[in-house]
Amino acid sequence: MSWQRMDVDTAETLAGVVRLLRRAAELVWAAADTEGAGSPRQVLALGIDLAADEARNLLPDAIAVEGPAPVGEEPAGLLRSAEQLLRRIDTPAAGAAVHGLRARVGELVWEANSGVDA
Amino acid sequence: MSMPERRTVGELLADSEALARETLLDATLEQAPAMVRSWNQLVGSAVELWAVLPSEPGSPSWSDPMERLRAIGEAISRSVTVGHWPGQGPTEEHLIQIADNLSHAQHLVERSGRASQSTTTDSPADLQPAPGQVMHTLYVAAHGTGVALRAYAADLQEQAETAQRRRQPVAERPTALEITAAQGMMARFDGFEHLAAAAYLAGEPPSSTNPEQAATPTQRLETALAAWEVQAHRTLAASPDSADLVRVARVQALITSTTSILTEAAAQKGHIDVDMLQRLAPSLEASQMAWNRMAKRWGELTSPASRTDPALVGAASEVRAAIAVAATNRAGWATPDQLANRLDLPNIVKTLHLSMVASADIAYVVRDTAADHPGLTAPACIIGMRAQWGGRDRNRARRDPLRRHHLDHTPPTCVQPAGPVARTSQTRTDQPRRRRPRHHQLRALERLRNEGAVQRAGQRWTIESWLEHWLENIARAGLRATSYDAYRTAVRKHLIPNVGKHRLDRLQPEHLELLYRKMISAGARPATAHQVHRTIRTALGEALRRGYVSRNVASIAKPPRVEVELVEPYTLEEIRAILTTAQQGRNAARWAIALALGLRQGEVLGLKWADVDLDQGLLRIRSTRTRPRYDHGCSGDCGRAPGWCPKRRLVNAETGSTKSDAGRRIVGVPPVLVQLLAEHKSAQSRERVAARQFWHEGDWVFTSPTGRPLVPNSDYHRWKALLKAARVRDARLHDARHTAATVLLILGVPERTVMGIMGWSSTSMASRYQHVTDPIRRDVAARVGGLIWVTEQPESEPTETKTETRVHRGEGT
Repeated sequence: MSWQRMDVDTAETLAGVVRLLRRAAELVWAAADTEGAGSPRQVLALGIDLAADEARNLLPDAIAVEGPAPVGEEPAGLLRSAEQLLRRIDTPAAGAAVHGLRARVGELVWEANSGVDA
Repeated sequence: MSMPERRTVGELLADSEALARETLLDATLEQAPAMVRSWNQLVGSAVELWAVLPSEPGSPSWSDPMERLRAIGEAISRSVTVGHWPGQGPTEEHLIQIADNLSHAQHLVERSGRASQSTTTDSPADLQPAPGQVMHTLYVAAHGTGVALRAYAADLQEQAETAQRRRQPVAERPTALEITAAQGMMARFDGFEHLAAAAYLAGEPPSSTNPEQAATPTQRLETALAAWEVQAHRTLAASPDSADLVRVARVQALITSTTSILTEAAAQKGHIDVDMLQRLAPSLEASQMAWNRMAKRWGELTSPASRTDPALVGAASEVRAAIAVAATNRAGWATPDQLANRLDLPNIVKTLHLSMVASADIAYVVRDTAADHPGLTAPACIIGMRAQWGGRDRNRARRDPLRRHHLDHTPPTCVQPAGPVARTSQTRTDQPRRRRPRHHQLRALERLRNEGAVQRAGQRWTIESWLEHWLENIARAGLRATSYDAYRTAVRKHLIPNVGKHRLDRLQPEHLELLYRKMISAGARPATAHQVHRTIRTALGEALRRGYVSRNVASIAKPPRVEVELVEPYTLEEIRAILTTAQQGRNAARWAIALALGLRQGEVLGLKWADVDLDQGLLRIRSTRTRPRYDHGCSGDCGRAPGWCPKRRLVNAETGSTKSDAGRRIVGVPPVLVQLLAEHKSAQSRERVAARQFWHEGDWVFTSPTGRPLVPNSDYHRWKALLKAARVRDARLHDARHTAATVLLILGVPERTVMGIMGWSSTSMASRYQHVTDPIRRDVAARVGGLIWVTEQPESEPTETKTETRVHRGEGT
């Protein structure tokens, strides 16, 4: 599904995914920064950032990414929410990009649950 | 009309190698700027030739070492084009000639592909060594350029130092910015040379094809890193958004962390020298922190709407995935054993270290991008400069010499943001913005230069970092233990917590005066504030001598006034009471020595029997007991202060040298005291027998019941308890020393002799006793006068009282 043909609902859902991922990344980066140079959390944090970039790049310019800040202080929870949102729009018509993104976010959920925090 | 080219590709390449060697051999400092200007043309020709040389089918461009070199070469070229040093000017003929040779070779190879009639074309077999020759030429030429740059930078540095010594006008001196610019360029050429050498020594380009096909984690990581470097350069060279810069910085931080982890594992497994690890570790950590800091600062400026270059995201994702597979486990970083099992550690560490070289060039590119990219807004430029130079203060970047050079030589390209700062990086779709002149920045920088307040290149001291460095690496070697302790307390307890975060060259006298006021209002004695003042004055004096600051602000700051404490010696009755009470406890002779001979506390406690000659009645003072300092013996998990740790270990010597040379002396002991010391020795012998195996033989005169030397702090508390028990007024232990000095002066012992006995190094100490001794001396004179002219000067009551006092004190000694 190219962004030119994305319907508004899907786009807004995807914008929500971007916000959730960015918030999760922010929290993990904060934890990594607290731990100082060499924190293993940066692997997860960068992964979430990159997933957020990917999601953002799927969105058309017309869709505002800004919106209500996601509630929650648990990166794994935010990632799970993002994955659930992606599941809603990951239809056969959605295409490989959304499907791939959903798979990557799913891996991030697993990493967040099994990493240094788990 | 130019002559037709008759040389073969092989001959052209051989000539190029020879020219590169000549460049290296003939490299002079004067040629350095021209060589830098020629570099783009040389690399461009090499890239074009490389592209037509036979290569392995299907190899992606980013697995090609030439791609990395091209990226660096283009970055250097961009830097020169936008007006950074060395700017426009002549080029270097050898390098241009090499570039021409490579271009001719490229045409020949292309022509041979189209038609084979030419007599000058080479067969495919002849072209086999060509990639190695091209790479070798680039390697040698980069080395030659680096040599010239090194000489150029060293010459500028020397000129600047000579001019400063001769006090030449600032305008006539080479500026720090020129030196820094040459050094920066030198570092970039070093990186280029390093990569070219690695590619040349590796022979063929890496054979990895694409990440999906990479067979092992090592190969996957190597390929991912190479692809990342190329993509990072491409993105930064195109039209970067602040989001791209954030991503570049985060990935670089991760690569640096991984390098750190794998280097440590390689050292543990014996693949690299541990010394190498120790040398690298601090740089790697600093580098990680710098990249992360940069990412955070750019992140602050990144609009939610901004996008990251999809190609950059792809390359970053692959680096992350390769690192996750190679170097992590469920709990975080993999253990050295796991890493050794998964990876070809020696090779991957080499690759990562090469990646660090490329990383340095990416840092330069990011800096140039932040400073010059027309799409980035003024605040974005400033943040870029701040991030690059690692400071919190936005003015830091303006004062950076290199940046100043840039301001001097480049038209303003940053534009005024139309909206709030948070949205300023929506650069790709923003409307054209007004240009913002930066003359005010330039003026401010010129003013700093004229004031001589521009920071020395390469140094970014804060008060904290300088004081720690000065204390541990400069001052400590020449200090006695007690002086070091005093400096350390002033530095760590007062200076660092209060003014440590200031930059060394930004500290003002007012900051110090505020600190002194704070200390006094918090209950500190003026003398303590004075000690802090003396410490910072000495430390800044050293910084001034080394050129890190342009003035010593502590010499300007006004310390609090310290009232000279007048000496209040004990009276005879008080001395008797103290000595009588002391007789009831252990070590009574310790107090007798203090009151009769006036030894300092450390001198008494540092006495050994070897220094006591009871037959001659002499004491030799040659060392002083230091305050013991302990460290944890339990790695700090006992939850107590180091001194109370059950496994504590002493970290300083038990004795140190005397306060001054004058402190080392021989003192005569009165017979009564000799007798007292002899009795003390007998008592100690009995204690030794009683303590049996618990006795620690140290030859100390005054000991604990088990033979250990007395601790100064405990000694002080015993003094206070003694005064209380003797029911005399409270006074410092040092006042016992004053008592002895007063007695000597009252006796009319010449000041020079008193100096010798007391261990003073100047007569100024004697002046502190004047208020006690002068009235008594006048009294003596009056009495003498009374004896001679008895009818003319009758005695008065008050004089009588003073005389009595004198007589009593005299009897006491």
